[in-house]
Amino acid sequence: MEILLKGENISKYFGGLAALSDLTFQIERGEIVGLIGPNGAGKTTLVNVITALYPASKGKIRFREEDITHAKPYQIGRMGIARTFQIVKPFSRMTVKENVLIGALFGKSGMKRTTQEALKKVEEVMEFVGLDEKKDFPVEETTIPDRKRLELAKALAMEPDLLFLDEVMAGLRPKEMEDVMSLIKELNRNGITILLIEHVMRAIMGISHRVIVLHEGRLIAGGTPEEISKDEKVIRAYLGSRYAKRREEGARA
Amino acid sequence: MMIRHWKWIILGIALIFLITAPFFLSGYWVRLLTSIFMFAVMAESWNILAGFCGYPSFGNVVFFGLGAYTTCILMVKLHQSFWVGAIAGAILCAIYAIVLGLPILRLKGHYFAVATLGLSEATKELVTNLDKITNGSEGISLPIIPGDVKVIYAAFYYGMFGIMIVTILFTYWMSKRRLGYAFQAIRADEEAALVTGINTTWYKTIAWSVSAFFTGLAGGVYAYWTAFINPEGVFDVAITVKMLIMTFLGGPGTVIGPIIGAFIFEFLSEVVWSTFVNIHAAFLGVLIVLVVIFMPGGFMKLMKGKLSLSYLLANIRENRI
Repeated sequence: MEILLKGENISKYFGGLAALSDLTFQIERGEIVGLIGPNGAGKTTLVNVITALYPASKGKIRFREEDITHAKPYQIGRMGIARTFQIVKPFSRMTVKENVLIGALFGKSGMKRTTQEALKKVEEVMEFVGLDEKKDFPVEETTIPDRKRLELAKALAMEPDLLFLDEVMAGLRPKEMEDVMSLIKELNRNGITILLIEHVMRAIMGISHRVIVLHEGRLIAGGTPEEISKDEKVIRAYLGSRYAKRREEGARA
Repeated sequence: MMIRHWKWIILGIALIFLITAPFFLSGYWVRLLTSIFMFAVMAESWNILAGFCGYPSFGNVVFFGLGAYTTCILMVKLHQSFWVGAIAGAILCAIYAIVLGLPILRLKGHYFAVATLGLSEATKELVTNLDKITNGSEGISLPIIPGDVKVIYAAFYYGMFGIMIVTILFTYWMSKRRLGYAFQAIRADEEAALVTGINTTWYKTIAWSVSAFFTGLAGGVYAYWTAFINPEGVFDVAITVKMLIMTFLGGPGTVIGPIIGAFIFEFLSEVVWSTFVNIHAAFLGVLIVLVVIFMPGGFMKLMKGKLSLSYLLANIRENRI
């Protein structure tokens, strides 16, 4: 398997606080990797570091064969890495369609497109994520689930090879969540490698090929969803050590 | 569809009126309209940077002054033609914006506003003190154009009108293309624009240099038109303030808004000026406050049929009054 993204000993400090310490990981082409961890574990910070919004304090990041540790955020976007934001960032005072158009005009292949060609891409993406009926709505007048879809649409219009999804399912109803999960699976079948940050365990466990766990800025576990759900360290991180102890005692008794 | 229709009809009538105006209007009105076109150019230029790209410059008058002085110096001291002077002035302004934009455009919001204000004041001092070239605070006179005053005023009228049309057409062209979308993405959310693959530094610099180019061109024509300039006059902060008010009055981030704003403001200002000479500034101040509170989207937003009691109330609540 080809390694698409590789992080070596990545650390990120904010003043004296180590938000990420010494992370080493890799993502292979074609994978759906789940990234979980309690609140404040550093999941979003990791995405911010990889997309260069916050440059890494230490370590090296490689995308395909290239060293992207010191690349600028827009260069990373043009190389084929796209992301969504947990707190959605729609482009205000524009329509839903124009928002997606911006993704299609820039991103990986946008600079080579004419506006007309970009609009064609927009149609395609809007239909795929199911926003075509709302394309002429001003973004201010859309609902939260629609804005989550819009985040996804903007990122997809960039035609990425690697896509970071930062809690795209948070706040969705079960039915909407099912829809997004099948969208993600389909994207992956179409060849997009995905790193999925999510708190909804059912979603993570349902679609990830592999799960990695962050806790207080460190990677504490990695493996298949089944392995992770049984991992002692993970249970302790999520539910506290007292719970883990009780669970152990329960198992012994 | 009907509304679309009306828009074109009104635009057509306005164009025909403005094109034929010098043939039947008095010299006073021709001069007033010329000055409105000039401010419309500057408001639209300010709008490209602030309305589209989200960077409110409080020092854009610097390009007006630089354009005027470059034209003047090239004509008076280096004996070049007006055309060479005006074009060179505009290009110099664009370059000035690129060179200073690279450091200053890293600042955002208020910091950017204050830095640009400082830049324009510093440039004014520089021009005042380079008195070997600029005659300092005494100012420079330009050659008076011989011939019929009426014809000359008409020539400046059409000159400014032409620049205004070009500025509007450029803004319209840009607003539907990659360039305009990049600007708008930056205004909405610079971080989101960056990760989408937009080289924000590059696009911000373009926005400012385009803005500088058109403002500088207007400055060059102004210098030749008035035949006398001094630093206090052409680097006056009040000119920047005018660009700002006109844009907000008409609707920032729209193509035609700042133009409408320039017309409304200059006509109002003219009426107020002739009726209440003493409290003219106070009156305009109140007007600005009212515009910001009651119609933050400007005239263009009112035209979209959003004028209702609930719209006004929402704006009042938003401003915590």
